[in-house]
Amino acid sequence: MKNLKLAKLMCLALPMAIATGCSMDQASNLAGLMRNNNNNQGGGAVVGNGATVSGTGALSVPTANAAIARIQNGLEGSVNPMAGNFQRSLAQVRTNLPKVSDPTQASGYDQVQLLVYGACSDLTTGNTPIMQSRYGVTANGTIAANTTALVNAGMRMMDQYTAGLASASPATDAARAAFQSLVSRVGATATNTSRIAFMSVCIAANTAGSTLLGF
Amino acid sequence: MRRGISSVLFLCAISTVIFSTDTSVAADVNSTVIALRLSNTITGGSLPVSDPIFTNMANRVQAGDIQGAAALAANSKYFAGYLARRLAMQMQNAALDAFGMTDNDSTAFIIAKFAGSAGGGRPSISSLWSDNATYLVDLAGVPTHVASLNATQLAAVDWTALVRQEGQQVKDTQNVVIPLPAKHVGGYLTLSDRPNDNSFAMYGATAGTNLRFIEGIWETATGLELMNVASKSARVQDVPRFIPEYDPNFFNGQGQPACIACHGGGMASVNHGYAAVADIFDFTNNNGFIYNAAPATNQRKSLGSNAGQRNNVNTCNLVQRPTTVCNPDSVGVDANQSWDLAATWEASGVLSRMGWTGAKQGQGLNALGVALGQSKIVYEFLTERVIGEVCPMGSFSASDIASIAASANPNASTPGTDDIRTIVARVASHASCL
Repeated sequence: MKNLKLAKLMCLALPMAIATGCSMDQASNLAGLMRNNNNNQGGGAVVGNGATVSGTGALSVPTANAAIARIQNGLEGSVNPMAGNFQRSLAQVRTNLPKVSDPTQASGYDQVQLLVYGACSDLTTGNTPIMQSRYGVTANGTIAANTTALVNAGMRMMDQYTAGLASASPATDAARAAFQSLVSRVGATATNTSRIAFMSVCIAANTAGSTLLGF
Repeated sequence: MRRGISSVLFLCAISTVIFSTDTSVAADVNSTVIALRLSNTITGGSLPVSDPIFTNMANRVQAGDIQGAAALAANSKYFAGYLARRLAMQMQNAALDAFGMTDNDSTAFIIAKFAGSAGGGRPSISSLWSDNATYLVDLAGVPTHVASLNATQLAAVDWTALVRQEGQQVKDTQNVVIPLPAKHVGGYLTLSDRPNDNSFAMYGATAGTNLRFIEGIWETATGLELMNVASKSARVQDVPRFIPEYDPNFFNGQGQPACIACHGGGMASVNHGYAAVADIFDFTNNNGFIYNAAPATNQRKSLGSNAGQRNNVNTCNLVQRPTTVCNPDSVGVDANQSWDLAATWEASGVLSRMGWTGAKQGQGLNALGVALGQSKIVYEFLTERVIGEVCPMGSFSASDIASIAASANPNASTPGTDDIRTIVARVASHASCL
């Protein structure tokens, strides 16, 4: 139940942040309202910074170095923050990435998705891109023909963040259906390529995995 | 905007689906989720789930030993490379801000004290401010200063395998590398092997009067701020000589925060460690960290930041015009680097608040560092810092913090482990963090 509450908190926070173009400051206001609503747990509690906070779990955000490490692990070491588009995007957004793990004080949380974008794009380049050699998505094939491989790619990436729960838990069918829906929607546009579809799956899986688990 | 929101909602759907597990699901799913939380907060997520350490963590959680699972993560090289390293970089400045900091001898020392070192070197919080050693990276069999590594080499470092080298080195005023005398060794505080290394020594001893140095020591170690330890009962003799006694705000009586409260009674007092760092240390852009065994009058920072005025400040003739900015009643910093914390802080209750059990008087930075490592407050502040990193939204009572800190305090009534990993494991496995 706690995990569901955490996931729902993130779902409420991020749409607000993106819709207003604001940083996590607004989302932190939402978190603060929820905190007050859930208060009266262990009254008089003192957290290290002197604030009186009644938490509902270890909600935290990844700092810059944490986000980088998570993305590397999520993509099984296929990307290097010192090379390619991953490096270039990191150079652009590094100063904006979260500097603290406290979600009420962190900003730049949304910048991690740009980092993910850069890392994912490194998997689509070259004559035999990694999207093909590791994930089985044929670069020059159609989205329809690559659907199974695309969905499997998304599941495989999510498995790296969830220690296999994506593909081996009661939620497996629903997770697979979510990726299927994404691939179908991308494929509905005739001009979209398998590279675009792979990028969509990769960005979705790695943004969710690195930043939306609540810790 | 609609496309952006729908994409985000999709992302949320994925994460919600993964974790919307009913509480009646088999325990191993919940154990895995808890292990993921521990791993992400302690190692930043750098521990791959394919690593056997993670599997062992999940098994420990399933067996009911969450603290043991957290300890597995804390004892790994991933903790050393992420959280230990982050905490170390924060300690290079009084703001405890890791942003912009880089790996250097000082951070390497702290990491070794947090995570252990090669050859079975044990972690040790208590010796952070006093151990006379330098820690280097074993680069193909060659002990190498960490600041010499390129990005690729840095990414490959096993931060639990740093190599210990006895002693610390510093430059003298002729830019010659010499051993820093043991009396003046301050653990990580006095480690710096090059200019512009973003070390604490650079932060504290660059230009100015070195007040930043001693204030930074107290602030980073205890979490206290200047006004927390100011004292109205300070003596004018304990105010550094470069503070103008004739300033109308120098003394109490006007309802204003008086200079003497901090400069005479607080962190900046000549008695509270300033004498241990003021005149013997400097840090320059060209030569880096410098130790001056016998500073001339115009080299003594305790006489002000302007080298051209230090002779005047030392003389402090208030009759001459223009009037020298100085305190004629100051005893100045002791030539033997003496410090006495009891003169003011015992009566004002600061020592009690710090849980001070070590020496209250001494000479030199090393003796002060040893005593600092014996105080209760440094373990409590480290616990608060770990909470801020690992469980920022958690709920910890004052007694929780005291208990966790005591478990790592070797000077507690039941000797603790002297190991920050104990703190990390206990914080991460706290009920409010799960």
